[in-house]
Amino acid sequence: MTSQQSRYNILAKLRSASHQHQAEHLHSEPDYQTPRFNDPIEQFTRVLKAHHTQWEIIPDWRELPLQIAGRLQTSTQNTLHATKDKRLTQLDWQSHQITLNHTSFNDDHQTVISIADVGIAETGTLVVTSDKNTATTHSFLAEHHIIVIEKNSLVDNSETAWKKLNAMFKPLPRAVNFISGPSSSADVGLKLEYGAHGPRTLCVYIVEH
Amino acid sequence: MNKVNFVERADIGLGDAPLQKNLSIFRNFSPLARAKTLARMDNVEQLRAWTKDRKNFSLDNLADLLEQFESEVTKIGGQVHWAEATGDLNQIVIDICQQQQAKKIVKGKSMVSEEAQLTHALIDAGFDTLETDLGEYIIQLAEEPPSHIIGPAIHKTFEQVVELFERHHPLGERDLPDAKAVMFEARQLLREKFLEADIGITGANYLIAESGTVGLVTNEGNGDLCSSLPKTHIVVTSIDKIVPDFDTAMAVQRLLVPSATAQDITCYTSFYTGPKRTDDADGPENFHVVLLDNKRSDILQSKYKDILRCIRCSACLNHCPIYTRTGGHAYGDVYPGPMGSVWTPLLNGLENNHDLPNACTTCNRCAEVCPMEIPLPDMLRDLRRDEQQAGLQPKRWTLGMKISMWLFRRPTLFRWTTKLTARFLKHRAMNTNAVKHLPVNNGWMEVRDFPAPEGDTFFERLKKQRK
Repeated sequence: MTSQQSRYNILAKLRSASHQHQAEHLHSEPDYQTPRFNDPIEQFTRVLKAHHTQWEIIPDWRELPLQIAGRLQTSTQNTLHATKDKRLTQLDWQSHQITLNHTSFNDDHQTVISIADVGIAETGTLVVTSDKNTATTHSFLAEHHIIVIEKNSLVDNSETAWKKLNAMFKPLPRAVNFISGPSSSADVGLKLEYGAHGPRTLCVYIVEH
Repeated sequence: MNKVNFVERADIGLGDAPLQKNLSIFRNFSPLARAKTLARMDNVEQLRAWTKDRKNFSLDNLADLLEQFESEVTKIGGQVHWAEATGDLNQIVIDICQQQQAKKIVKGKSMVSEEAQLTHALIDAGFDTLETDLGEYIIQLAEEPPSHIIGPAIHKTFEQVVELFERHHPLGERDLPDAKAVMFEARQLLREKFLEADIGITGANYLIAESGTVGLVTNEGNGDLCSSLPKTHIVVTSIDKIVPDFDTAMAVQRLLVPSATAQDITCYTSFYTGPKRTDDADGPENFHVVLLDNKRSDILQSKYKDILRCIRCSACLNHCPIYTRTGGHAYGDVYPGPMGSVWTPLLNGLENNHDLPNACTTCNRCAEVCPMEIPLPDMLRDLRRDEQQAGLQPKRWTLGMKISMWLFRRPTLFRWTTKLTARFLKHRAMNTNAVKHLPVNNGWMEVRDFPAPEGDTFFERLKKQRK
């Protein structure tokens, strides 16, 4: 049966089965309490830790290259795959022997740095969206993922996050990824392990100003 | 159609020592972990009520919401396809793959694709098709169906997985000493497959009508690689997954994840809307959503409509005393456990699966833990009634029920029969507290003793007490 015939049959059957259309209820505000926090940063960082995610609060963006250089010293790494965002590109990486790479992925052992549009305190979630500068695949192909978020991008819960995202974007970006920890799986012998298909580690920098 | 019935398949599961080892860990761990996560939430009952109401609203307005979803997807450059039966879904996917002149396909986990046997259909049509969810990859290597809707390979022990990898991967001298090593081995091999693939296929946990967005809830990240690396992304899903808006999607999400994996949120919750935008850094050029009906529009008009609220969280499986002993393969189809015992007869016909609604102790745990308040035990009872009315019950069972009914309608005879039986069993116990042998039910008596009656029947005691 063709898709068009199926469409006709399915919709006809659904219409005959369905109750009267209740257009006034098309949207209804949740009546359950969504979590709110007096200190969202405290909640956010506490959950990040529970999700095997390292985190650091830095006073401003200029501090970032120094902090990351400290992290990279543990390996021979000196190239970062980065979102082509001014907040990153205008920083002084050279003094810390770091090169930013904005092109394609050609090495298996990559560290990727992204910027989150929104952070969700309740679940320690970083929201990364796709655009001309941000490749979605990099967030999942990376061996190690670093995500930077500005403190004022934090919201209490996912419902508020969507209100913010829907106000920021019209239409929505192709990909909106809620990232809450490094990738994991418990499919082998029921044992939880980190580093399944996506990054093995996740590190978050929270920029205060 | 399954040649053997549930009892025969359950026997195989009960005698499978590695499976029993895994199930004993799973049935103790899973309910405790879920309870611990839910205890941290202070709004569960309100959230359940609101979400149930929103899902009912979605079902009452399915046609409008699906059309809205289709219109939004089309507006952003994607394409929505409709499949009345599973064969239609497979043909639509095969046609898209052929149009794209595709050779290699990577797949994320999707129960709808299992329902349609899509992977087999694609392989038969000549496409190199690989499951990339670690659990699905393991069972693809083992050539077995999934045994759980969230953890498809929970029936496989670590040793069995290593054995599979040794057989199928070019390991050479390398050892796989632990679960991490196995996972990294799969990661390395599958990474290459992701980069070579022409088509990525995923399922969907929910479809958001207001924006034409597909929600994908995962931990491994393979679903996101399937969605974003290949040139074409195909979403295979069913019509019952539609919700009107992001608020409802988030409410479903809040219930789904703790019920499924006892996490507060999965590592990745992704929302995909249409294909790559003109200046996007990456993403698929083609975006297709295939909506499967497969009897759901019939179920909507039936007394089993509530099952369409099911969000495939697996809480009912994880708490079922039958599922957690027999394992999922005993159910003989893709949806096991209490939800499967309702879904399978409705999707594949009661006549072929009428033993499944009988795989129930009526303990009601599934109804208690179902986040969508689906009255599973009531539905299973109704299906048993349908089975009886359709004359599908085994003759021996029908005869037994007839004899019981005849006896229950004759109170004096019933009391005499129970009195004599109690005396007989007490005599058989020979002053111990258990009967070790009985002339009937030998299978049952092989592993159990029958508790010896104390002598009096319930009615005799009641009579004495009243005196």
